[in-house]
Amino acid sequence: MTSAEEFIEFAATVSPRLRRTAFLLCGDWHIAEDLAQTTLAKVFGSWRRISRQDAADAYATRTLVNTYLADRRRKRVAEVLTDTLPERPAEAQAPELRMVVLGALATLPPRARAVVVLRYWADMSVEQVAALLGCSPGNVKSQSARALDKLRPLLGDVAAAPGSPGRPGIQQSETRRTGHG
Amino acid sequence: MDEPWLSELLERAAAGEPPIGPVARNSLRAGIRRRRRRRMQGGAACAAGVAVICAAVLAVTGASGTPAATGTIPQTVYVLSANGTVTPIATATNTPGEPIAAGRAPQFMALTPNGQTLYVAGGDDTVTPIATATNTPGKPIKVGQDPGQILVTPDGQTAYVAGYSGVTPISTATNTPEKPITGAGLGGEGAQVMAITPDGKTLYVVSGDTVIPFSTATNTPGKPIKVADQVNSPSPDEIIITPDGSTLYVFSVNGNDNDNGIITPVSTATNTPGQPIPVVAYPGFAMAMTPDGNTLYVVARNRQDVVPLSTATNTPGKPINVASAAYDIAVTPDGQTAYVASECPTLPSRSLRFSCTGPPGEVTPISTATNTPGTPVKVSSGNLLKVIGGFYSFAITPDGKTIYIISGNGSTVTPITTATNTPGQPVNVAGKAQSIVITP
Repeated sequence: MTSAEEFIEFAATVSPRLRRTAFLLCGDWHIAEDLAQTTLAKVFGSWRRISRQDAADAYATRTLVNTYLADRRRKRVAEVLTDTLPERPAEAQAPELRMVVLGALATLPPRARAVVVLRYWADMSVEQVAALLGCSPGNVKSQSARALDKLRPLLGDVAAAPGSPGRPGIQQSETRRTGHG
Repeated sequence: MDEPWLSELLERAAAGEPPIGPVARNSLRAGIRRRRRRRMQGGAACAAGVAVICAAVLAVTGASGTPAATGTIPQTVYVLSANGTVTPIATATNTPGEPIAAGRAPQFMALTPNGQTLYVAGGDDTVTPIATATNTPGKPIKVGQDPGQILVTPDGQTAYVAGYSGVTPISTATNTPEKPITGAGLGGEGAQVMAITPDGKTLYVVSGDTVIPFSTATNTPGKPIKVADQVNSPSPDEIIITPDGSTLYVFSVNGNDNDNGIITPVSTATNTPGQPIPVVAYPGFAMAMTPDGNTLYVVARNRQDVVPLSTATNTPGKPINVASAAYDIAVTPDGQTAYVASECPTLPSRSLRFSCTGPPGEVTPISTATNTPGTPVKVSSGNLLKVIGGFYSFAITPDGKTIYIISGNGSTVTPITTATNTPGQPVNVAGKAQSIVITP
């Protein structure tokens, strides 16, 4: 398999996940697709180097988050909080849930939003997120705690809806104490 | 630290994406066009919105641009909601006024000491000044990215806005922003919590893992203060300054042990940290100090305790037990009572750490002389609104006679008479209430 073929296979595998991560970060499928494609273009530029390190996946995630944060800093992405989401095909899922979740995510600063998406959606550990964002694990923890405190009141009702695993609340925070007695 | 409810919500929100475009380049071009279109639409809508607000301001203030109504402003409670409105409530009648539009997704607000202007920081990187005499919003003031807490100097001349891109000073006389203060690590994800010395000369800003002092005279940052053990890498979450201005208390989460917090006393004369004080409190985001500066109360949130800390000896006292999980605290102006807002989990707690048997929400008075709790005042749920510094889930009138607390899951504000500790009729507010302040 040539290097280019390897990349095509890699891109086909990771692009759905990259797009979904990007969507949770920016809240718009079209911008998410832009972000994912920009990320893949950057990964392709470094493909020969990173494919040897068996770290292409982590590299792509890091590139995506950095691209998103850089975009936010440059204010190229004009995200507008609105009751109606941008045009898109018919919904398979309940649209109001997505609207509420995205609205809640939009209240977070960009880095806090990235912490939430990486930790609770991409299932990365505190240390992995810290390494990816270039900050201390303590900082990731405190950002997570703040973000969760902010999201709980906003998402409490949807999480408590039928079919949900549980209601966010104090008892959820308490779970992190197991192990400390 | 699993949060399965959040993971599932994110999973559901990210599902059902549209199909990938047939040719990547074409869809990228389409994306750029779409974004340009949206940006233009947004810009036009924004300009139209500003015009409406300007027209409204002109209509009220007259051509001179000065407020039409001055003199005594009736005491008002302002309630900031997540939907971008501020609801004024006249304390004389406890009736809500017309909601005031205050920018998109606002999170923080602050009053000038004379109560004439309310500043509201919005998610659209602006701060909206509201003239309390007329309850009309002024022209939004452009500040740095992701504005956080707002703090007005004791002389009322400058409003400092913390944010992702540094701290932006706003001249309150002209409502114009000055050059943002950056450098020394200011800005970034952590720059949200601030405190100012009573003489107004030094502003302390939490940024990342440090506290940065800066002179308000020159707006230049000083040497960052490392507040606790670097190995544990705690991030400061709340800071409070003694009324005499001598000591800054910084609450940090212990990076290695989420169950505990650390309070670092910092001498404001030398800006050097003292011996860290461990407290069993996490997240201990709420602190309050008695007006005499003798006692610092730390809410051990998600527990049923409040920890009193003697500032003379910097030792924590015996935790004061309240009936349910505490989340915010304030001390009356006469210093005699500390009121603690708390809330019971609505579902059975998974943890055996405490069993909550009380009502959904309550406010417990604590005698500061004896540090003993009184009979809790029952209110409907406050919904754990205290998040970080700058959010106020309840406020006490300057005469200490009434507490206004966000209740009814953010849909109402309940007045409580402190003389009898009895709740009054809840007042409806627009949207979902987040923070509350009261004019002098």
